[in-house]
Amino acid sequence: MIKLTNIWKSYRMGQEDLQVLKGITLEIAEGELVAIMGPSGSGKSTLMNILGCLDRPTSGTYELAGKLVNARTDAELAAVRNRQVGFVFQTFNLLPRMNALRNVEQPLIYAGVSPRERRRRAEEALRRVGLGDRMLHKPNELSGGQRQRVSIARAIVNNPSIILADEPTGALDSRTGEEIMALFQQLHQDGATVVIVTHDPEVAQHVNRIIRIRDGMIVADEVVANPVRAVDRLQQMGG
Amino acid sequence: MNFLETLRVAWESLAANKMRSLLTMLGIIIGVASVVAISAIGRGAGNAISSELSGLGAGQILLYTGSTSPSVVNERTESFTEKDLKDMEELIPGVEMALYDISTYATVKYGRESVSAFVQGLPAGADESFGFEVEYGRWYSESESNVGSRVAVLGDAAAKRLFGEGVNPVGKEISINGATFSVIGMTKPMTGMLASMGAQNTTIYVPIGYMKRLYPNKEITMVYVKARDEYDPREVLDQALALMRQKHQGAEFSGETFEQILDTVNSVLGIVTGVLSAVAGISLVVGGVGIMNIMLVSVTERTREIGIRKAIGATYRNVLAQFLVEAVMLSIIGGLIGIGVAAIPVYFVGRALGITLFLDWISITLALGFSAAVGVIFGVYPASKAAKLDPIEALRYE
Repeated sequence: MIKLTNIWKSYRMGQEDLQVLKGITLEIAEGELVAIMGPSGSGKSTLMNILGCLDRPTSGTYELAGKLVNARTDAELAAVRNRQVGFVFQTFNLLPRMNALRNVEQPLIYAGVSPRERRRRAEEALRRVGLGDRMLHKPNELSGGQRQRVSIARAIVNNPSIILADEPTGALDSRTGEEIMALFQQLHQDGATVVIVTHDPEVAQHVNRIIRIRDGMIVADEVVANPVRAVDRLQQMGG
Repeated sequence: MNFLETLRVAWESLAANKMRSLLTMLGIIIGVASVVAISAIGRGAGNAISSELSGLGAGQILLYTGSTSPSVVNERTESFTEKDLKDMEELIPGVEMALYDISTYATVKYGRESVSAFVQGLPAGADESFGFEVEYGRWYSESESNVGSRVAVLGDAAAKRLFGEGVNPVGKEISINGATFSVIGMTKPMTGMLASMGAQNTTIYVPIGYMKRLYPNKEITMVYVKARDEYDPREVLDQALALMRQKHQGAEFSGETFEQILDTVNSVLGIVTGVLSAVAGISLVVGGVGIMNIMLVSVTERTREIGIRKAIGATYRNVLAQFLVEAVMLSIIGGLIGIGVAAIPVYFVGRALGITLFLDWISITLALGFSAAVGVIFGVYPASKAAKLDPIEALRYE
């Protein structure tokens, strides 16, 4: 599904090149639920940007769904982001003037889907994240957890090859965060490939595999034997 | 990307900042309103002047001694003679009448009223040639004209000044430069746009025979020719000029038909309208700068939105189109409001001049075309600035 081979990324800082990623080689299979962990400055955000096709590596190759994605034009990269990547952000990043339904429809508009089909698929995605009754609410009429659900619905609406979540619970209280993790686990069970970038060990307990990076290199790649089931955790919390 | 959706997003973004959008459009509104109003008023007034004047002076021709071109210096000129006028009437079939006037400014008195007026000596029948209609009384006869009787026909405004409003002046005695005249007629008041713009007939007409006695050595340097309705005035003019040159052995004469004078008036009016419109059009450019300014603000404010859109798959072209459509929408809505605003001065000027004015399709189309162009020209830079934003930077923008 995802295959990174010897990815290097450097930024020019004044006279020097700053090496942010130093030869990342990584494979993530279809249907995995993975966390990428690392302290700030470790290069995990840069790695996520490259995985999400927001940025290009300086060298190395990136295969997504069996296709090489480096060395393409900006317009082609935009198309990959549109069809193959679903982003979930820490601060939700919804468009404030539009209701939930139209927010979720946006990627389909860029994909050229017809208005009727757009609406049908956006409604379906919102129902999948449990917001079937909040479709016409604008972001400021929704709670943080509901907003993050809208953002997840937007990420899955185009059936992407990979869902990329950047600190998805970072702006939420622990219970709501747990609900969001439950949703990711549900999507994983339904067969989606989910990559969560986080520095929070709590979050990382919920995944099947943790890739740790530090100073631009992978320092550990571990399988989590018994991941926490968010549904169980929620039951323990009560309510 | 769906064009309707682009329109909708642009509309929502303008509607979210109603006051700001309106103020931004103000420059375009003022520019379009002035251009459309000036061109509608100019065109309408030109049409009205043409139709009124052509009713008044159809078939009239003016002949002058000498050429009208200022570059000719060493030409031979000769004055017209009474015989020339007779010959024109007899030898050129298209000439209905050829006449000249002897005119002067004079002090005209009635009782204790005293005014300075233009006194024009004209032959009998001149009323018909010039299209004067007599309201009270009559024009002087052939014999009165030849003898030089002291009778006078007053222009309606001259009569009003001497006798007051609505008085029939026929039979009253006035003094012109000390000589006593009996008033035998008064012309009909002028109507229409020229009258409402202040044109009025203050002339006093007297028999040419009288003026000839007063100024026996007056040279005839200008002749009025009335062409018959069924003849082309231009051909009559050419024939008259040819006859004069032949009779005067190559002395230079020139002339113009009333239609040519009208064309000149219209082309001058067209130039004035055009220059005024161009000056008003400058505010369209100012409006465009206003749009560019506010679009740049909007791009900065919406940096994060641009980042989100790029992350979910918007291309350079998608973002460019979105901001460009927004700029063009601003300018076109401004243009439409401007056209509506233009209707106000056009209506009142039309009412004041007593003519029908309307916003013509040509200027409406041009105005809308120009405002759309302004939107594109001044929208491209902000839009391309938005489209070029790096998605990672844009998403980080607070």
